[in-house]
Amino acid sequence: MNRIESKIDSGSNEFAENRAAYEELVATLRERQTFAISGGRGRERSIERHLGRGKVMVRDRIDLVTDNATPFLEFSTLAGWGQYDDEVPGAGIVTGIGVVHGVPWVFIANDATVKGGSLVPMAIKKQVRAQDIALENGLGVIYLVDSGGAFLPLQDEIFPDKDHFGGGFYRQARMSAMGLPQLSVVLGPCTAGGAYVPALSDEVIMVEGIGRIFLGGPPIVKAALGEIVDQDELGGAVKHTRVSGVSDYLAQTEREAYGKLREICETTNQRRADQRQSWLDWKTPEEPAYPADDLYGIVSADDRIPFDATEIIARLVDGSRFAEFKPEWGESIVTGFARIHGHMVGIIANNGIIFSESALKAAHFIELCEQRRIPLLFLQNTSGYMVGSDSEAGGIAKNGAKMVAAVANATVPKYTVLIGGSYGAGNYGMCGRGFNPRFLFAWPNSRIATMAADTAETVLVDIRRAGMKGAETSEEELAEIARSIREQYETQSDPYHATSRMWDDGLIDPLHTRDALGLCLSLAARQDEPAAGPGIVYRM
Amino acid sequence: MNVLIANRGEIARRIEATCVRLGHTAVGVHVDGDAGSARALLHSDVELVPSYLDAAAIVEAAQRSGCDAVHPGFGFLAENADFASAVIDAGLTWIGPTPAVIAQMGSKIHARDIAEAAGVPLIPGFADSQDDADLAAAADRIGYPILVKASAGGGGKGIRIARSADEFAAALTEARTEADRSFGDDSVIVERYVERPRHIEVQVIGDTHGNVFHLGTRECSVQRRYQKVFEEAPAPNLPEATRAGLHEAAVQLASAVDYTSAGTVEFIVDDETGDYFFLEMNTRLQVEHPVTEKVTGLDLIELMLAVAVGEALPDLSAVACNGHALEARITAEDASAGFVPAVGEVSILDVPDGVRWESALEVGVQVTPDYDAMVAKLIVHGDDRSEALARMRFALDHLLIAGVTTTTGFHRWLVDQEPIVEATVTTRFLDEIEVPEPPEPQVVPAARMIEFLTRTKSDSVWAQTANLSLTPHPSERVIGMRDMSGETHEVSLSPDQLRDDVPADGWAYVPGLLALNTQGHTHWFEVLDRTELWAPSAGDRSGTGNALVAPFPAAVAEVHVAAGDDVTGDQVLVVIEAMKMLHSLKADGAATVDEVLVTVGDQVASNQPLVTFTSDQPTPE
Repeated sequence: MNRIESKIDSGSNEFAENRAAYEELVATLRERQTFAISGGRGRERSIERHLGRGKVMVRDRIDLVTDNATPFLEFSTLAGWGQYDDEVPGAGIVTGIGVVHGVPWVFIANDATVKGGSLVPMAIKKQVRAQDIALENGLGVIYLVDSGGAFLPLQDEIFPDKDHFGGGFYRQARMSAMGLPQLSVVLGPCTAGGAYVPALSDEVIMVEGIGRIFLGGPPIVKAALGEIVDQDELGGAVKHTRVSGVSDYLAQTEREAYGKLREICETTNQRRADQRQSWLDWKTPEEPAYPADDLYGIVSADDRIPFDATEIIARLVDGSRFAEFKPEWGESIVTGFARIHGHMVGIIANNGIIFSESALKAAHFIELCEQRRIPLLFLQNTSGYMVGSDSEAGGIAKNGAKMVAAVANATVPKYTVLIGGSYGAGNYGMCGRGFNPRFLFAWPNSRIATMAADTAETVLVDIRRAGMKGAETSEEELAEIARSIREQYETQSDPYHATSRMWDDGLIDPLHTRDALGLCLSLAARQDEPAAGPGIVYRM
Repeated sequence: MNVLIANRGEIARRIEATCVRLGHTAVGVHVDGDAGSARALLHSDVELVPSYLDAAAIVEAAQRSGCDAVHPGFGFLAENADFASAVIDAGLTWIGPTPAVIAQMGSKIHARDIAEAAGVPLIPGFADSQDDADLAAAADRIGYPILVKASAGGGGKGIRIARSADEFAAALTEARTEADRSFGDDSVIVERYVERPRHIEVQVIGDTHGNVFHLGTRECSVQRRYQKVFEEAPAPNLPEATRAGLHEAAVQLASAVDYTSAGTVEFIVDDETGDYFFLEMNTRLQVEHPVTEKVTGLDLIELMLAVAVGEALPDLSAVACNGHALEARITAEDASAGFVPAVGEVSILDVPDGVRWESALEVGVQVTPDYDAMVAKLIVHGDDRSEALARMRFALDHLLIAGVTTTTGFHRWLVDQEPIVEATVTTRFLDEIEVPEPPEPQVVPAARMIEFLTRTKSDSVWAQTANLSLTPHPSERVIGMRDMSGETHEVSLSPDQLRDDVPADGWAYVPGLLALNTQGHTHWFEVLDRTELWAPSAGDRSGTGNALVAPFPAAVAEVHVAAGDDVTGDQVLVVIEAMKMLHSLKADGAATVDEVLVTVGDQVASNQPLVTFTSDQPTPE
């Protein structure tokens, strides 16, 4: 494969300005992640209390379990950002992929220093999403349980619906049946529904003195039966390990539990993280030829100024080598083959607006990848499909639909990164959340909405002006409408608004993109070849 | 020549090396169970014998294996005249001096007489009378200071020193009183007391053609309980007259007995006067022979083989002494604990280049308490003494022997001591100085090394992205280790503690084991997986709560405790009977009995409490 010739002048003013602006974006990301890890009102006191009881911080727990010198691919660190009065940083739960005895596992770990690990709606969403990642990527799940249970003031947003609490248990039972081990360490209370997390696990360890499991705690038992019983007597680790058998192992300390957990993991007979299957082509990796931190200088500080997706690709792929498909047709979408950490991948990246040709080229390329069983990576930066009479006459609707349909039906693993704008139907055609990419990450400069704030303001004001009440609306009122529309779009297209609601699997620093994608691809390469759909290549 | 080597360990390997170099065949012996020694010879067959001291069996082994000569090495049967005779009587060549000479020199009294007759100075003494005046006159004649010691002597009892004539009477009285009390015999002798004695010896070699040569001196004053621990050649800091006198005296003595092999004449040298006195003659190859070989360029075993078969020695009278050689006798002992013997299996052995290493240690060899504690000799050579000392320091800073505690750290300390550096050592040096405590194990540096060495190095993305962190959380790496004393350590390493390379030397790693050289000591660390590191010991298990309960319906057969008893987890508290079988019930850990709720004969139901404890959780043992 040929190396991409970069045309970036890293000595230019523009580059320096972009870079300075991006460094600020990354600093903000770090700051907000730090808040999720240890910030929030009263958090310091709650951390102190947690540590004072000899308990270990949630991310340290994961470190104690995972192998040394392996990454932890954390998901949605900023779930819940700006919600719940900012009192539930990180939604009170940590999820991600870590390695134990060489095998990748999904971790779902409650953070008891956040509202006692109570489950707010975003926590449930985060847990269920982590389970879906496990299911799709063929990973076992380790539950480090330390949660006071459902956050009752919001019980209607947690309990009844398809992907609420029940959906989590459904997934747990189904994954176990599929041979994906479900392991629990009980490090705190597991009350009511929470009791089913360990109870539905394949193997359970309880830590004496802190782990407790009961369907109803002492207050409920007292209310229902008049029975007065202390919590350890009711559902402590000794009781459940030696009497009820709800737990399989008793540990005196958290560390003992993690040693035991690692031993259990060693016996689960799962494929190792680096056990590549032969269906996906792999070659010894090569670092990109251009420095990753150029990315800060390439991405425009002003989102109205486009930047070249090829330059981004050059800094993500092995050796900056890229076999571009159909380079001289439909140029507003760049398609081609490359490798990331050795794994072959087909890349589809926007260079602005999607025209009919670009859409057809993308659909063609998706079908090529589908036929060849090559995973797809979408790099989104588009204001959407082209409008206008020429475009409509050229059948943009049907051509865009071909691309959307091709994406929807592709059975190879798909990955999406929002590197810029993700507007309108462009979000769909480029494998937005609705199209189930295996992982979706966003850069902190990204924007996601039906349309850009500028466009929305113009369009909606014009509609108002042209509508039935148009004549009655004063210019002042129109200005107020314009202002509020702009504000709404700006707020809602902000990447933190998006990541808070888990429209992605996390905001990531552009510098981490290559590594994160490499890990994601290796998870697919570790699995058997996905069952193929109809694989005919149509010319479009 | 086919040579049977009647010895084990390093000296067997040393003799074999010369045999192999000269094209002779060597055969070793080993005792059942001495597996390490069976491996000492690198190129030769080994014959099984019942004991290294079983002369008849060794002679038979020599005959069985077709040998025509026997080399005894040192120790065991090396200075046993009967063994030498048995070898000769069996028609084999004895590689050593004649049995007669071995016998003569084996008797201290006889050896003194021969030395005296040969004009070799003996320490001046008087034992011809027990009259106080005679003894005092003898003391005046010998010259002060004077040692008064019990004739029946031993154990340092009945010994007094008189530094002048004024002190003599008191010293005599005290020595007599103590001798009488200790041995029931108050007779004493007087002799010259050497304030600053040095142990210096002269290597000699003779042949059957009447040639006897000396091969220079060795300084062996660094001793602990009469065991040499550090030797050098030539003896430093010696007046030329003394050196020449020693050489001459040694040759005189060897010539007087027609000495026909390699031997060593040992002297006490008075460091203050340069006077020297005959101590004894060793009719064998000496442990410290390599230092002589290093400065003379000779192979003493080659010479022994040659003279044993009747060859004449070349003229060795002008053999030059080139530079300076040092030897550290490394023993499997814990120097900081009073040199108690250490045992273990060698797990790492790394000897630096540029030294002479005489040892049969190999990875996997068990060091047992059954044989001499000396496991290796580290020999260095330099153009002069300070260069040799520098090389010894360097070698000890890089040498690694893991699995068994040795004296390498002690030797490293030793070569920095002023009397060694200044060459002012006397035989009292080690009695008068305290060996320091060894340094603490370098736990964090060891953990950092282990982290680096155990890091997966592969082109898998999971190894390549080891430092990826999508959040500011600094992931710590956990290293579990067990050090050589058995203590376990958990070390958490933050990202800024991670190494990106390892030191060039001073360490060795085999999977699961790191050895570090810390001030000459080898410290070793076994890598523990977290499951092992955090596994509870049996004593850490807590109890079932506050009661001992019946595991199934049964009848109480025996009750062994009463309220207030302190019990342990091993103790049977109650015995119950069910289905004609007796079952002993124990607590899960130490606890104090609060109440016994049952008596013999009671029927109990499943889960019925039998004994309660005062604490909710029996405390871990």
